[in-house]
Amino acid sequence: MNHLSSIQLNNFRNLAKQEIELCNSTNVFIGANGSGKTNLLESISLLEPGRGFKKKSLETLSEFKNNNPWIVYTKYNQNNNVTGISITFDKTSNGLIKKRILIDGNTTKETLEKNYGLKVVWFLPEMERLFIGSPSIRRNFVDRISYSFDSSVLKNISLYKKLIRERSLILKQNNFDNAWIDTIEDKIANLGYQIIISRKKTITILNQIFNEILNKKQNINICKLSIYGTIEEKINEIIDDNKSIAIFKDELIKYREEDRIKGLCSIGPHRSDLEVIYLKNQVDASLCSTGQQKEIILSILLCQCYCLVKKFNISPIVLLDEVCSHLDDNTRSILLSLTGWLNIQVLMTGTDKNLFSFLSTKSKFFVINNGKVKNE
Amino acid sequence: MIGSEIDNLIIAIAKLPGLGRRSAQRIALHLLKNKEFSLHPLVKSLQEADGKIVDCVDCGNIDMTSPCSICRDHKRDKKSICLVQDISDLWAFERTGFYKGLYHVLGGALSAIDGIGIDELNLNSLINKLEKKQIKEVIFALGATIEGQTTSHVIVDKIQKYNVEITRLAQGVPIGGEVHYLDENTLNAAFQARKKIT
Repeated sequence: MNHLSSIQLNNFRNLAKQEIELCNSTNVFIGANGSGKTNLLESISLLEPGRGFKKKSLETLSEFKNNNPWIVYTKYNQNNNVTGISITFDKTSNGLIKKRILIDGNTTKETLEKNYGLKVVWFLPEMERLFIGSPSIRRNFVDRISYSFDSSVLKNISLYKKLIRERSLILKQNNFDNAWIDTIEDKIANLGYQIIISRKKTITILNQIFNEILNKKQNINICKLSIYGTIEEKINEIIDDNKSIAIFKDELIKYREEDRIKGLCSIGPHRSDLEVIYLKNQVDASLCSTGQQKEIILSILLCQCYCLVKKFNISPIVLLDEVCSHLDDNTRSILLSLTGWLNIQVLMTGTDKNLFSFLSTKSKFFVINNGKVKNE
Repeated sequence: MIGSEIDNLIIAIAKLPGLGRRSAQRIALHLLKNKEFSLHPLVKSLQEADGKIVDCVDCGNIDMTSPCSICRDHKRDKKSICLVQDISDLWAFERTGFYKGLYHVLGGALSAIDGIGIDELNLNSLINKLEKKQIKEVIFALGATIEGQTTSHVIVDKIQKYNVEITRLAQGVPIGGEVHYLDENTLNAAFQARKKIT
C-alpha cells in the first residue's frame, strides 16, 4: 500500500517549520478556522502536476511577509520502499516560476504518478457547489477523474483549448486561408473526439462501480452519470472512429460563419455538461439538497478511488477538507468505505473532534493551532 | 537612474530574447567596467553586422552577400530544398554537415495567437523556385509542435501541385534516449514509423 509516512514543511504559508509523522490509514487534523488545516492539505496536493488544489501562483505559497522560498519534503512509502520527495519552485531565466521536484535529493525526468504511482484525490468545501455552478466546473471535475485514469487527458485538453482559440482568431481575419482553417479544424475534431471518448470511458467505469459494487453496500445511495452535449448526441450511435471525427469536422465547417460573428466555437466537448441522477429520488443532482449533493460528490470520489485501487492497483492519497459538515448516515458510510474498506491513506480536517467519533481507533488525530501541529 | 543612458542600455539589453532585467543589469555593468575588452569589440561587431549582414533573397538565410554562400555554392545539390522554421534550425543542420542541398527559411510558424499568418511567412520565393521546375524534393524540417504541424499541412496544400517529392523528418526515439522516458505520442509515432532491420 502506497502512503506518505511523513511530511516536513518549511516556510509554507503559516506552517513555518513543521514535521508531521503520518499513519498509513486515516489522519485527522483538528483546528479552529485559519489555523492552517487547509494549508497542510494544499502542500500535499502539490504532489500532483500543477499548482495544487487552490491553483495559486507558486511564489505566493511562502510564509506571509517572508520572501524565502517554501519547501515541502515528504517520505513516500511504496511497498516499504521509502522515497524522499521534495517540492519547491524556481525562477527561470525569463522570469517564469516553475515547480521543481527532487527525488531523493536529485532532479529527475521521472514523473511522480507514472514512475511512483502517486495519485492525490481531493474534496474541498467549494466542490459542494458542483451541481449549481457553471458547466465548466463539472467538466473539469470529470476531466480530473479521467486524468487519474489516463494521464494523456490533460495534455489533450490544453492543446484542444489552444486550437479553439486559434480557430476563433483565424475566423476573425477577413480573408482567412482555407487550408489553414481546415488543418486546425482537423486537429480540433481529432483531439475533441479523444476527449469525448476519454470522458465516456470514465463515466462508464463510474456507472459500472455504482451498479455492481456500491449498490451492495448499506447506506450508500447510487447515482447514474452521463455526459451530454450537441456533438455527443450527433456521434452517439456511431461506432466507427473516423466517421465520428468526420461528422465533428463537418459540424465545425457548418458553424464557421456563425462562430465568426459570435467569436466562439459553438460545438465540441468544451460545451458538454455532466448530468447526475440521484437514483433514490430519481431526480437531477442539482435539485437535491445541499447535504445530498455533497453525498453524491463523495460517492463519485469513492468510485474513483475504488477504480484506482482495484483496476489500476494504485492507492491514492485522499484529502478531505472540512468533510464533516452535513454529516448523516449516508455520508458517514461513504467516509467509512474510503477509510476502512479501500485501505488507503486519508487526510481529513475539521473543527471539532466529536464529528470524527465514527472513525476506527487506528486513526491518528492531530491538533493544529496557529500553524503548529501536535499529536493529540 | 531612470531615463539615464545606463537605464536605456539595460532596457535595450533586457529586450533581447532569453534575458530579463536582472541579467541585463549584470551584462550592462560588465560591459561598462570592461570597456576595452568587452564593450568596444561588441560595438565594433554590432556596427559591422548592421552594415554588412543582409537577408538572402532566395532562401531567407543571413549572410554577408545575397544570395547567401549556401545558395551560391555550386557543389550543393540544387534539386532538394530543406524547409526550416528559423535560421537557428539551418545552423543546426549545417553544424552536422550531412545535408548538401539548399535551404528555405520560413521565418516562423503559423500561429493566429502570435499574429503569424500566411503573409508573414517567407513563402513567395519558395513558390518561385518551385515554378522554375528545378526542384525535385522538398524536405519539411519543421518542429513537431502543433504550429509546426499546421504550417506543414498548409504549405503542403500549396505546393503539391508542383509535382515535387514532399518528405518530412522522422519522429521517434532520440539517440541515447531510453524508451521508458518517452511520452505516449512520441512512442506511438516511433512505433508507426518502425523500420526493417534486415
